[in-house]
Amino acid sequence: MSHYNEQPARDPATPDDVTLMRRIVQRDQHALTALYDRYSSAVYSLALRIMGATHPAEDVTQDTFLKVWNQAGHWDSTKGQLIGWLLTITRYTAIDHLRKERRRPLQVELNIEIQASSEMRWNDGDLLRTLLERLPPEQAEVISLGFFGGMTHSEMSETLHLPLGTVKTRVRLGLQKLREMWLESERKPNKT
Amino acid sequence: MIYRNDSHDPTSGGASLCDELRAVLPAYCTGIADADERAFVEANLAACPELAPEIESYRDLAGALYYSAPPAQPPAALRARLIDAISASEQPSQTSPAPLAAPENPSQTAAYPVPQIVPLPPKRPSASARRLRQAYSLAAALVIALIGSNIYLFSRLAALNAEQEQLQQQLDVRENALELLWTDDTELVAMESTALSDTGKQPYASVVWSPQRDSVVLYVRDFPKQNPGEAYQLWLTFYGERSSPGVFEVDDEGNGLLVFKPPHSMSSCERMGITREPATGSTEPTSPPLVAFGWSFNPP
Repeated sequence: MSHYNEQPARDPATPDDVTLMRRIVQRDQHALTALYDRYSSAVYSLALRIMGATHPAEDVTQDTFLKVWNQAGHWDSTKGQLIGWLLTITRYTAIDHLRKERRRPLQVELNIEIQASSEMRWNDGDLLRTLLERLPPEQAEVISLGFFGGMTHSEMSETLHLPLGTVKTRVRLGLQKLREMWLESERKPNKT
Repeated sequence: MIYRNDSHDPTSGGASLCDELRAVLPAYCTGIADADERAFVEANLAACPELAPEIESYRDLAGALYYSAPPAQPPAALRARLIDAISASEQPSQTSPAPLAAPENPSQTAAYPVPQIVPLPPKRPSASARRLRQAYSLAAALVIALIGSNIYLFSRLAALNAEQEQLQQQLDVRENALELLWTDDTELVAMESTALSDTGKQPYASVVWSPQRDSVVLYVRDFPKQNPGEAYQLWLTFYGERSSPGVFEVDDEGNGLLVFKPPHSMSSCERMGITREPATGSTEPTSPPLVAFGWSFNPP
């Protein structure tokens, strides 16, 4: 069971995401605060996971919602749920902050579009936390550094002082195993 | 592992290529792969359509990983901070002063100290009244002349202010560039020329920034002089989205500068390029880039 504000539990009188985003495009501040109230805990949780400290996580959360305010027209409701788009912005914003701190070189790119699919369920997060704990620690470590730390294979190799091939193998095996366990739990009627 | 960067003929050895792709997919779909690995996947994916479900599955996994962060609540004060930040970002456009320019009807604009015309008294048929009327007429003419002169002076002042502002902007651009060059932690990316210019020289462009500063400086040299009504436009791609921070012109020597604030950290910039566009700028590039970094361009 997730501890986030449960996303689908919405008062029927409250506007849906599409309506809120349309109003944000029209510069309606109340719509943005309504969106903040709905999703700030999810955004802040991911920001805190990536940044590792509350103050930077607050900055990332604020920047994320400012980007939504300024770029609401970029969201395409046909491509996925708003929360997926929001969390993608959160991740990139947080990694931007991390790169400013670490002064990463330009060749590091993050152009892979990751979107939460429309079937994504909130308790997938709880499940994946459990599954990540079941991975060998060295595989969980590289997945964490790569996905949440925004590091590529080469950067992890440099940071961890490991051969590049070792890092690639750990990432590949870790993600393959994680995916297998995740798909397996999806097939079972009662997940965990 | 060695990745082949060329496009592959699926009829020859397709199985091993697809196996190589399959090995990179987990890292590719979660954004962990290096640039050469991404290029390898993107160049060869079409040869292995059977991998589509696997890609979909890894992308779903990546999406689900977003939710795996331990739940936390932001402090209540953050909401107020956000509202303040939005209000502050909206204020300049709502309260910015009108540009200094002569009003079309000065008497209706209180901000400008325009003399008021004295109303004429009713007609009286006496000689003294006629003289008085002549005096009033003269005074009125003088006032009208003064208004005209004021309008001229205001418009001149406005022009001078605009000129001063333009000079100040140019000064700011150069000061920004100089400050950056004096900074120890400056980072630089040079853009490669895609062709020789009309002068036979190789156009050169570099983008300089410091992680400690918001402003970024673009410096170009040996660019061909732009035609009248044209300018050069810089394009940047962050996270797959292309935008332009502005247009600039080069002087007779082919030198030009542009100072801009990028939408993201420059270290996240994936591609950049400069194209020739109308002086007002374009929403998308309409010509091949003169110089570029990581850019493959297909003209419309």
